[in-house]
Amino acid sequence: MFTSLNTHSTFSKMRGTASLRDLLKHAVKYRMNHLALTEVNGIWGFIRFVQFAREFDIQPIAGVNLITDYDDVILLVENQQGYENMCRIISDVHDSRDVHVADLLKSRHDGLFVLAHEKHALAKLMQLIPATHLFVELRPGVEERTAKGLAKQFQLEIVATGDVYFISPEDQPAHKVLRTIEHNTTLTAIDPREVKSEAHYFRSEKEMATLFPNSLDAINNAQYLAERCKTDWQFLNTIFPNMDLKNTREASRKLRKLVYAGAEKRYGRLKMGNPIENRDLRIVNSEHRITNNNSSASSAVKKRINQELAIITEKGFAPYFLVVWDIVRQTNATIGRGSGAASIVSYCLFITQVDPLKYNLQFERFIHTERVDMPDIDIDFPWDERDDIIDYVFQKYGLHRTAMVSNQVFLQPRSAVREVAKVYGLSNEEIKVVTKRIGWHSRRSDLLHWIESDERFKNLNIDTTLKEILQISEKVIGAFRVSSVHPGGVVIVPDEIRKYVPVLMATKGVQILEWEKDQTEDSGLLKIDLLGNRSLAVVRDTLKQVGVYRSEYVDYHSIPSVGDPKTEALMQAGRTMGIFYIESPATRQLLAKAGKVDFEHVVIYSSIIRPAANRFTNLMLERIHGKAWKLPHPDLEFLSESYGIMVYEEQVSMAARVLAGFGYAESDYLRKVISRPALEHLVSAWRKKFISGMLKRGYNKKLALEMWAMVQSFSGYSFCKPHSASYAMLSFTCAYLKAHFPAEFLAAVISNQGGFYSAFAYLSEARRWRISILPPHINRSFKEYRGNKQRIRMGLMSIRNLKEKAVTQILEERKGADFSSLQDFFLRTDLDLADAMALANAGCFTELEREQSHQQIAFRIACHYLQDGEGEDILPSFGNKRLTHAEKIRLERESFGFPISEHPLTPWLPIFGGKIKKARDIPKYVGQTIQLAGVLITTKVTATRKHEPMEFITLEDETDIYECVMFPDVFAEYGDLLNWEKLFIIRGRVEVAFGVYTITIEKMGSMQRMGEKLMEKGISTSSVTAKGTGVWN
Amino acid sequence: MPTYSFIIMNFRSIFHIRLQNFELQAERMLDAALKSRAVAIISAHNANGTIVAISPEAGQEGLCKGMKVSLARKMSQSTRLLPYNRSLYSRMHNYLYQTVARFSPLVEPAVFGQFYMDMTGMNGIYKNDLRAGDMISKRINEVVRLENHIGISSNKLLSRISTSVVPERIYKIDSGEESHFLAPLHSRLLPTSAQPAVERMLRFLFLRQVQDVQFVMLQESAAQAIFSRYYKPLAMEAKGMDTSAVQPLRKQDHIIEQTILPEDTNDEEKLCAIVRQMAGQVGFKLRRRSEIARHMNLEIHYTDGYRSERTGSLKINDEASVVRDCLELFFRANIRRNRIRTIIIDASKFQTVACQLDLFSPTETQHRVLAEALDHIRRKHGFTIIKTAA
Repeated sequence: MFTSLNTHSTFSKMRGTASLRDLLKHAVKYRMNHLALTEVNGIWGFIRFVQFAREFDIQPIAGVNLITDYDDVILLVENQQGYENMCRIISDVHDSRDVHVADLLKSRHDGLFVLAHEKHALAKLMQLIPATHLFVELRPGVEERTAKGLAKQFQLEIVATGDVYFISPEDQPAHKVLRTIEHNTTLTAIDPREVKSEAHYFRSEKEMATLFPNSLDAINNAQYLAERCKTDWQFLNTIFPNMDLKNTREASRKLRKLVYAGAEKRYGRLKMGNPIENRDLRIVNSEHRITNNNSSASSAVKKRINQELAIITEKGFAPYFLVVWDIVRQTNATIGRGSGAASIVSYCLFITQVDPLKYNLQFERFIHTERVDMPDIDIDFPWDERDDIIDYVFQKYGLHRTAMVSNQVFLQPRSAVREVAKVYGLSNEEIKVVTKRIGWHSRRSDLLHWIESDERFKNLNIDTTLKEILQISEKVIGAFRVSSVHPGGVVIVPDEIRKYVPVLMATKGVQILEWEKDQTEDSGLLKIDLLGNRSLAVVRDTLKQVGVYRSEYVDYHSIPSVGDPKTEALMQAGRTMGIFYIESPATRQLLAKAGKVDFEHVVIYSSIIRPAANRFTNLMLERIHGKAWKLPHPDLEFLSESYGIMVYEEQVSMAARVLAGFGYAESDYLRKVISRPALEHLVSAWRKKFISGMLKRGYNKKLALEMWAMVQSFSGYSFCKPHSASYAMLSFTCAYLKAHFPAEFLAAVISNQGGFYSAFAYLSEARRWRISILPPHINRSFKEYRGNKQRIRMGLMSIRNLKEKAVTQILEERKGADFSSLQDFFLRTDLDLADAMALANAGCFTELEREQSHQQIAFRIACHYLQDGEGEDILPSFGNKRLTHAEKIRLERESFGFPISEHPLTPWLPIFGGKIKKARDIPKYVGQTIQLAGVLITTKVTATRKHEPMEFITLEDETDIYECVMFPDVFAEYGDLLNWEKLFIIRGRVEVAFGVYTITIEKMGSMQRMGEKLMEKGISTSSVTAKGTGVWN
Repeated sequence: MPTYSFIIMNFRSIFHIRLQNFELQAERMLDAALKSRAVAIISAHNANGTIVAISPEAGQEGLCKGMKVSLARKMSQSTRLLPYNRSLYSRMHNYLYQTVARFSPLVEPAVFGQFYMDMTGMNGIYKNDLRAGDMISKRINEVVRLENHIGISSNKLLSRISTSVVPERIYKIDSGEESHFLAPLHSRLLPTSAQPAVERMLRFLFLRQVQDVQFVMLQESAAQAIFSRYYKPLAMEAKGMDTSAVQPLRKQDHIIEQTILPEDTNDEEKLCAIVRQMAGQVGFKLRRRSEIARHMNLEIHYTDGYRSERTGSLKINDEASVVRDCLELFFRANIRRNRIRTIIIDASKFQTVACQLDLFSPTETQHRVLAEALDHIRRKHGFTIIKTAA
């Protein structure tokens, strides 16, 4: 009998080419009942290995191949203590590889078996480890004679291993390429010691006997040793920050107290106990507060709180809630996302912002008595406060108890081709020709066949080198490339993090776990997601500006957004640019088409806008607009709230339970299978199970297929209702702020960056709200954009080439007093010439020196900064030319990236005369073909059902923004134009659906090119006045 | 009071001959079918290549100089993209040089399709500058039928600027008219304005025309502060002054070995074998001259057009030393993983071998003797008779 005790998978960073499943499959094929996974310096995929091993009925052994600057040994885990020691040792190797393994094992060898094949390592290890736990490793590349010599010398037994890095010898070139990529070199220049020979493939017992014919004992020893290793891995226990019984009991009591205190704040005085005196003062009161005589509502709240607290106490989750509550307390504006939003306890602790009672959010989606895995509460913080929050967590719980979750980055088809091609010496341009057609999200692994047969690659010349590159790329897809920091996952343990999982320092300087979020969750470690959210910062900044400029102090938790007529009118019109989650063209159109924008409907829209659910979106719109419909079956009553369409994740689980007879755990797992790309391979099995389950329970096949189609529309990503409700609440808050304080809101949107649209697009939107845009000003501008009633003052951040340091200095200096003149500015600041030039070009000094021309200001600046402070400034007697309009526009483009004094279309429009219609007039031309001009705002390439590419385009002219669609034939002809042009003339047909207008493009051209041609034909711009129109007047 | 040298300079007669869009005209001369088509000459056929020259028809399609080939292909499928045919342009340029060299002993070839001629004192032969220009222009037309412009002035700068802006075939700027000629022109025509610091300042101060620059230069201390070390050249250029002389063609002594690989590769073994062979050639030639090269340049051209070079010197010319030094230069120059297309070794600054032979260094003697034996065989049977096993 032989068991492979030295096996590397794709989780061995840029070394192994065999996936965990392939290794296990071969272990089964070779009749092994154990398998040890010994990745190089890590257990990166251990949890997955244990899970997969159960599927294959193989006993999983934990181990590691420790490679330091001096040694190369194998550690195998005998018991739990050995596992903990191994994790600590790996963490130490991550800290520094300049270490002897013997030094690492000195006080931590309990529970570990050690296999070594080098004499110097064995000699040192002999001093520490008893012969029962130390063995001579006989691996490919080590001669039997040598191993026997060492065994004799040190009185040890020999254990044979395959030192496996790939499944078959044919995979060795792929391994070599991985090593070459890792070392950033070429195939001929790589150090041969870094590459394993063809001998390191996965061998059967027979092949091992052929390799080591005189060491049959050593081969058998591998099996004997395997049987002594730990294989009963259980990850049932959740590892809380605080676990002992006493603390948990106290935590439960504290939680109850806090929840009832929070409930008083959220709902008003409940009819029980003492009222909480420490009520926070809110200017705007919530409309949902319970009055003293409303006892039924009060009892409903109490009942729900008590129910939840009972389950939380029973499951011992109270410490977890307290940790989250403590973190959330650090800031004011937060939002809980995920299923946690269904909890009234979270709501009362101000972790989440949606009232689960009012919006009928089911607690069971969050915590259920049958649920074995840990529920997670994900919290969003303002993006610029998140790092401080994480620092707080690290400070409070200490580096020894806390770490962030990692992101494991694997080679995907695109990156694999790119990296392999680099090894073969292809240039970036040559590589891009292939990779850009592959696309970011492609998961195809049969690259060569795909590229040879797919239409998209028809113009690609596939020579022998490219063929070889593609063949190798296929084999390296899935190789573990690098680990980075997860944006927000934090793990806190009660004692020492290094005993649960190895940790390492990421390049960013943060301590991270080896495991990514899914393995972390599956291992039982408590993960708290602290994520950054720009819209929360937008809300915070808007409220701040409203307070400063309007003296209206609005509390984030008490904004009466739901039910506000102005807010709903804004949403109904689809004027939601800048509003969290509902600002994309598709969602804006959906809102306008639907017309119903109460909270419940917006929750539905937030959930249904997902790539695989287009068909159901249209179906839902028809039903909203009165088309008769009925539930496909009376048992589907739970779909009645969403027009008979599956919209939320819990409806998938519910369908599985009600229709297919699944248990709670099974139905929850089905949800995961559908939505997680990593579990895609299980979909067909679950489809079979779902449909057969329905048929068994007497439903007809048509209904079963219809239901499965709905379930499948959740593939890729989907949301549960509490999550959507939580997001919808933030959408409503943003919409309320935009409706009531548009200038302040849009200024905050631009300042926080990272929105769906560019700053130019948001400024255009501001103009459509009749807001004036004021250029940066040395005394009036702050770093960020500031809104004040009907004006937005551009911030200093809008000026390209102006350094952050200069902005800080200006703002700091201005705290004393405004700059009274340019001379005053020179005296009080110490900037670089480049910064001063950027400020001058952006027009910051124009109002400060009204009597002087731009050129004179420029001369004064140049003379001041170039004289190194010696002598008086030379005030030249020239430079009084005023800027022409064209020069002003050029300066604006250089300074901000776009003009602010006129719309980019304005200079061109007069050339085209009256042929071009205005966007605001589109409704007048329904069914007609018209010509429009537009600046490109955003695009989205998608594909038809026949997989033909088509594109949705958003354009704007000076009067309004409008949506266009380019169907495949038009896309084939004009699609490329969008790669380099920004200003367009389009000809298209005006279509209307559910009251929303779109242009189906028939022809398209570059406005500049067409304009230039017309000018050549004799129409000159000088003969027509370039006047702004619409909102740019 | 003008200096003597200034007066002398002002009486010079410098011609600048420019064949507009020389590369394009050369291509069209060879292939008449290109005459009315949109044509662009590109630096390389890969997507990273750029447009070097375009015909007016291609310009109407939206193409422009410096545009990437990948974009040009997308923007205009009807434009014919021709690769940069250096050998054709070089041959034609040499032919033109020989043609114009008949008119003056002092001809300086500039970039392809441009020449400077010093015609000072030639009025006795050609009567006046305009007539001389006319004769040269007609001669060029006779021999190559290419459109040309000739600028005549007292210096190279003005003559060159005049051929780039003046539409007349022959144009003369009279002495004393220099600053008037320049005044309305764009300031970017002044060579010093190409310096990033100057260019930035001219833009910032809105000094669009040369007359603006001339005006600023009158405020000497201010101009000095603004343009610092570029003040003097800029001031001279703004006045239309240029003291550089027309330099006749100088031939340099070089041993150049160039290999264009049959297939682009980054295989180090193959590349080293090629470098060894090229180094062998260089060593062989050096030993025939009994010289060493104080300047050795090894240049690598990658597939994507990127170039890398390293410089060293050869102190000994035996085969082993030359190969060793060249390989060292190669390893230093090859800093990328990309595939290599061309390797060039350029040896220059030769010096007679005059080193002290070492009585106690048998290796060097062995190398020398071996190299002599190899050279003997090569001289008898040709260089390629001996190949290195690598």
